[in-house]
Amino acid sequence: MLSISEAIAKISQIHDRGIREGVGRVEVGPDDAQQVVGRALQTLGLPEFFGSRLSLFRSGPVYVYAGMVERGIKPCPICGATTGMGLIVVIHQDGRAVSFDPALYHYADAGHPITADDVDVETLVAIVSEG
Amino acid sequence: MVRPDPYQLEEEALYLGALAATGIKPLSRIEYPVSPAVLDRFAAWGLVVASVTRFARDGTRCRHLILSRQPALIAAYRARFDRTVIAGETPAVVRCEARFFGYPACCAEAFIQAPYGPNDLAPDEQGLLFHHACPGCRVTPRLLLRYRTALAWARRQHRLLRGCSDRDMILSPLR
Repeated sequence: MLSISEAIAKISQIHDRGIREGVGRVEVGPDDAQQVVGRALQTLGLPEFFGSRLSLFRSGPVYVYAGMVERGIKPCPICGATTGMGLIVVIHQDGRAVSFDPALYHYADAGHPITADDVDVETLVAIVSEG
Repeated sequence: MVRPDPYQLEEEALYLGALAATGIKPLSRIEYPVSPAVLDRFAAWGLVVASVTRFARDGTRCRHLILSRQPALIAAYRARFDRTVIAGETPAVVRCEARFFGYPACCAEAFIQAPYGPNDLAPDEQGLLFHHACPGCRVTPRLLLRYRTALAWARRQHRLLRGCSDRDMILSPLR
């Protein structure tokens, strides 16, 4: 079983690789991906995604939705490093989904503790472990 | 780890400067170092620039830049935050920063209640902003054109800064 830091690091790698190489980028269309992600966002009470602005990356059954990463950055309260703002949404194709602050990418990288106050640890680890 | 591109960060700094120079944001904050050339642009746009020292929980000293046309706002921000510990997004901090950074109060309150909830903006509109608009927000839609104009202007200034030396264009009035 992955640790929560390993799970976040794995999501970060999927996201990073998707941005760098376009690998796994999924275009929005009337397909399964749109339905899976749309349902998951609705379940989480998050805004639906729109058109081609979607930033969705995929690795096997795991989708990483970065369309809610906000413009701007903020300082990490633990070490002062700059971190992202907004939400990263991780979705399994079976419909399970979890969201977290992109600052957790930095937490995992820097070895800061990640707790249940930061993210639904159990769901995230379960989703990523199957990815 | 997903890392910001230095070129994009510089453009972002100019965008924050443009927003402060036009008064769309009463005050902007930049959490990373910027080049002397960017600071020169801020001065040319009539911005007062000051540094603020913050402390992380592990004792790390962080230097942030703040920009505004109003020296009184610079002084007020420094009085509130200089040499303080970074506290995260507590309700008091969110409300206070909203006033400095020009975020609608309704959006700040909605963020405190439920961060990043659904709103009525398309992603490209939300992507212009530094705050998350609240559902049914009546203020944010009126800001969008100004944000869009400031971003286009900042991008043009950035291209000029890095690509050519059209001094008249760089120094032309923003407003």
